Amino acid sequence: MRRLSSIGIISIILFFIVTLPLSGNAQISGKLKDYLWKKNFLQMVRDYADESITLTDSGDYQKRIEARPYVEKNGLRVQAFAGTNQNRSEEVAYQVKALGLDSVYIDTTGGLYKVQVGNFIQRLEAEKMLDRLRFAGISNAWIVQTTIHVSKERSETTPIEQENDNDLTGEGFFYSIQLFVTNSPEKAAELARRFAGELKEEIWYIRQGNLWKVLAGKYTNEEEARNHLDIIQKAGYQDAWITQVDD
Amino acid sequence: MRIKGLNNTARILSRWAAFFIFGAIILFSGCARQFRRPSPEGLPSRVPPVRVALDDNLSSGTLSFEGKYELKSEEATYILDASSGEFGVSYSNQKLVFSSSQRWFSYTHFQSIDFIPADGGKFVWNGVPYSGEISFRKENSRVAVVNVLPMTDYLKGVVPREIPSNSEDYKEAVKAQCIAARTYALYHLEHPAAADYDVFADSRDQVYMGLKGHSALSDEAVDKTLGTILKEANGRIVETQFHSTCGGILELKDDYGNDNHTGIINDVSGDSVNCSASPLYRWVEPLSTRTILKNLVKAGKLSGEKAAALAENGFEMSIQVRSRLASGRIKQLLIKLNDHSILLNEWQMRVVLSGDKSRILPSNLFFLKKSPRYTDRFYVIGAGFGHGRGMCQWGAIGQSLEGKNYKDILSFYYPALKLGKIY
Repeated sequence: MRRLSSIGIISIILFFIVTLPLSGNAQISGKLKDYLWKKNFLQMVRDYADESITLTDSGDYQKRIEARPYVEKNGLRVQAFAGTNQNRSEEVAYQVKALGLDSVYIDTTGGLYKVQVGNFIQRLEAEKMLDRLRFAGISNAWIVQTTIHVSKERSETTPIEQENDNDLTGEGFFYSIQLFVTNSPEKAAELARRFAGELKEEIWYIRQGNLWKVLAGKYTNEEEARNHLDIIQKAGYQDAWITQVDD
Repeated sequence: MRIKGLNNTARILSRWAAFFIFGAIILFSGCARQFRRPSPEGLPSRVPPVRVALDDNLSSGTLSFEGKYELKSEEATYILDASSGEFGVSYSNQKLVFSSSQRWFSYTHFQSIDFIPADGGKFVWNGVPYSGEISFRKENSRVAVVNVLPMTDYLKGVVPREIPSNSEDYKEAVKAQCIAARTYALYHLEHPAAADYDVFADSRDQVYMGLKGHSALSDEAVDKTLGTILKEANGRIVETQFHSTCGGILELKDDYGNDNHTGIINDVSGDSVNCSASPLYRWVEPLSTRTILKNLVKAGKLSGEKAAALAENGFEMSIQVRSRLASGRIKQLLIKLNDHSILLNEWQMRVVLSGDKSRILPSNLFFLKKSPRYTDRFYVIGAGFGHGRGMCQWGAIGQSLEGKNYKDILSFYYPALKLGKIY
C-alpha cells in the first residue's frame, strides 16, 4: 500500500517536471515549486530516490540512420558504367539523369567509379530499367546486386523477393554474359545450341521467373566478364550484356 | 637663591625636555610606522591588509586607473592616472607586458610589480573597479593578480556579494555575515591560500567584487561591527564557513573529519527552518547523457576522443550513488560508461551533473529519477545551495525577518563560538 502511494506521489512530481518549464539554473516555479516546497526532503530521498539508474544513448550514427527517409537493403541496380575514369563516370551519370531519372548514384567503392541507377527490389523492375537505358543508347548497362535505398514506407509494405534474398548476400553468384531472353524454353534451347557453335565460351540457359535466359560463360569477377563481353560483341552480338547469376 | 632658583628651573626644564623627547620618539615612531603602511582611515593601525587574488594564473586582462597610482621601478617612479589610458596586460613566455596607447612597460625578471594608490584613487581590472593596491606577483611560472587593501574595504566588497543586502529587514543577517566574513578572512591571514595572497576572490573563499555593487546597508554593517569576530573559548580563530541555502538540513561537522569546522551543527528541525525563502530551497535539474558526457570532458574525467566515439556509436551510462553522509548529502557518485568507471567526489559530482545553462549543480543534497519518456534523460531533484556547513545565509535572512538579532543568528549557527573584539 505504501509502495503504491510512493509511486503515485513520484508520478505527480515527474508529471510537473515534464510539463512545466524550468529555468536555466535549476530553479523551479509554479505547481512544482508549491509541491516540492512542502515536502520533507530526506523523507523524499528515502521513499523515491533511484540510487542507481541506467540510461541508454543510441548514438549519433544510429540517430542519423533513423533520420533517413529510407532504409538500406540488399537489392538491384542497373549499372551504366564502371571504370577508373572519373570524368567519364560523371558524363554517363549526367546522360542518365537527362532521361529524367532521379535515383542515379556514383559508387566509388572498390577503386572504380560505378554509375548505378534505381533501387529495385524485384528483378523484373531492374530489367525494365535496363531496357530503357539500352534503348537510350547505353548499351553496356547491366544489372548488379548491391545495397539499395528503400523508402521506409515501402520497406514496411513490400517484402523483398525471396529469390533476391538468396543472391543478395554478395556471395554465391557469378557473372555471365546474357545473349538472349525469351519466355519459350524451346527457343532458349535452340538458340543455346546455335550460339555454342559460333562462340568459344560455354553456352547455357536458365529459367528466372517466367523468362528463359541464354548465357555465355561463368566468371567470378566483373572485370573478367567485361573482357569476354568485348570479344562476344566483336563477334557480332552487340546486344549482349553482363548479368549476375546465382551459383 | 637665584642660582638655586636657576638650578631648579634648569632641572624642571630638563625634566620637561626629557618628557618631550620621549613623547616625540613615541609620536614619531608611530608616524613612521603609519607612513610605511598607511592605515585605513578611521581605523587603528593594527588592522591588517588583506591580499586578494583576483586571478591566480594570469594570461591576459585590462587595467586602467581613476586617480593617481605610482609604479616604482629601479630607474624611475611613474605616475599613472586616467590619462594613461587602458592597459592591455598579458603574461606569456615569462614576459609581463602592460601596453596602452600612452605607455608601455615590459618585465621579464621580476618578483612583484606594484601599483600603489597615491591619493586614494581606484583602479579598474577587467571592467571591475577596485580600491587599494594592485600587484602582479610571480611565483614559479605563474603570475597572480593581487589586490591589497584594508580589511574593512575588503569586507565591503565581500558582504553584498555573499548575502542579499538590499533590504533593511535583512540588517541583522547582514551584520552576522560581516562578522562571519571577517572571522573567515582573519583565519586566512594566518593560513594564506598561497605565499603571495591570502584568499581567492571567488567561491573558493569569499566572493569579492571590489567596489562593484556596494550597498549602504552592508557598508554600515561592516562599520558597526568593526573588529567583531567569532572565536573559540580559548581565543582561537576558526574558519567560519557559510553557505547560501541549507535546504533545511545543515551538515554535521564530523562527516568530513575536519577540525576546522568547529561550531557547525546538524539542524534536526527538518524543513521548518527559515531558508525556504531561498530560490534554491528545492530545485530540479533536467539532464541528458550528452550533457554528462560533455561535463566529464570539461572536468578532465574523460578524453575528448573517447567522448566523441561514445557519442557516435552509442553507449550505456549508469549513475550510482555510492555513499551518502548522515545529512543525506552524497559523498561519492559512480558513473559507468560501457566499461569505463568514474568515481566522483562531492565537488566533482556538482560539476559533472550541472545543466547546460548552469556552472555547477547547486548542492550535493539530491536524488535521481529517470525520465519516464526518454531512455537518455533523467532528473536531479535537490535541496539547498552550497556545502551546508556553518551559517545558512538564507536561514540568517529568515531569522532576521523574524526579529532575531545578529547575536541570536550567530549563536544558532555557531553555538560553540563566542563573539569578541579583535580591534
